[in-house]
Amino acid sequence: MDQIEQLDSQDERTPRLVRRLGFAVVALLMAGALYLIAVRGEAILVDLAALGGRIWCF
Amino acid sequence: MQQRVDPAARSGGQPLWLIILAAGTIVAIAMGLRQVLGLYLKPMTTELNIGREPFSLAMAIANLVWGFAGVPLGAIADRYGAGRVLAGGAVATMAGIWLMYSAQTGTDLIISGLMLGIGIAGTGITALVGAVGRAAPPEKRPQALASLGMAAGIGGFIAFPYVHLLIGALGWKSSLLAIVGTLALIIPLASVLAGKPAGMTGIQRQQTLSEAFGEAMRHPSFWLLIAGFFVCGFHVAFYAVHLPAFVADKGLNGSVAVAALTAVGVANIIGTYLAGQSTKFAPKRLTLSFIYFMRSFAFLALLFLPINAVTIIAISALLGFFWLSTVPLTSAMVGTFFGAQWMSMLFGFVFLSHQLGSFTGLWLAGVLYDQTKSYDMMWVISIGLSLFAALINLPIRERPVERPEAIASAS
Repeated sequence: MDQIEQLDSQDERTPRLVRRLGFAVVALLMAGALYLIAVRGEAILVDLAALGGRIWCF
Repeated sequence: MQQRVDPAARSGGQPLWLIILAAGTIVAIAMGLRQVLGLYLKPMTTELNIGREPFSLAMAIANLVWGFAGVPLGAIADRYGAGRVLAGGAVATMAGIWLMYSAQTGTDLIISGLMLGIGIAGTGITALVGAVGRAAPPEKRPQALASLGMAAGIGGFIAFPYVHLLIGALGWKSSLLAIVGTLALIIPLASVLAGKPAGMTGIQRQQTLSEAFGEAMRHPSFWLLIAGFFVCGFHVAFYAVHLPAFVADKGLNGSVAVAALTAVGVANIIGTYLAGQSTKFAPKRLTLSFIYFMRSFAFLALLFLPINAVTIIAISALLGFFWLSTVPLTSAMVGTFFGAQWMSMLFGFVFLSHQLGSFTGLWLAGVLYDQTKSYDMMWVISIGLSLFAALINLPIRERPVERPEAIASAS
């Protein structure tokens, strides 16, 4: 039983390489998004304003 | 008794981390891209010369269909596996975007909205909670579902600036093709979640769809959860859509609204993570109650604090922490009540309430603003609803429903 639980635990844990790669990709995308928001944020808002009252958000 | 999930019973016997990674990537793509469609209103309606109403109607139809289709598509995912629903949802979304690309008339856009609604329901969070909920052991389910919520938050956050950049670089038509290409990534990812759900080990008995539905409809705590989630939708839709107008009304620069919405987006990701972790030491119903209660402070602050750039950004960050942190707790609660067998279908029902709340929040804000030229009344209503949601989550019975026949057969 202990062995099964140990195997389950190993099975559920994200491999270190995948975890690091995942964090790196997300961090890069978020950093890029923050930069783009900083330089184009107001333009995005203006383009969205036309639909403002009509879209729903999740 | 602690339940264990037999790895072989998961989608295709895949490890939990791979299921979460695939589901997270799918939901990030789907939720991210569905939010950016508003960026196409101006270029499309200008070029096609069709006026803004058909486009707005198409988006409204997409959101309505999304809410209503979540229940049957969730049931199909629960019964036959999430893989085919996700792949079908991806194809429907791609078809919807393609119709936008090739649209010549308003009718084309409305059909596109219908396809997009079905597609988003098939690839969004409702279709995935069941697959992830079944894959994770009950004690880790909230954290696994929080990963989905975080992925949806990240997708929504990054999609706007990148698609805006894409439209600027490629033009609106070509950027739609790039979106179709991105959506195609969902199909191979869906294969990770493919496979008919196998029964879980433990005391759970297989239920039919009608049994599960009837049981949920008779469970008072399920209705309390639904009512609370309505308030969630009401708050987030109203605030996200009307914040720029509120900021402009206060004479502040548009960059303040951008910074405030960015603060919401970043805090939302952190808040969703913390909400998932909170289940290790606090009952879900109490954390949900706390989240709704804390929202009332944010709305109180908007009503009574002097509004300037600093207060708006700080209040938005506060609200962001309590934004979609409700999602992992609410979906995990559905799993606690009824188990994971029909989780997507039942969460789809709860989610429909969220969408109706979104619609009500947006509609009421517009009506009240037109009548009073102020958002004060909406802040007051939002405070009242926060307190209502905080209170109605307290009496929720956070335990599995009693199934006398299951006990009888087990004994």
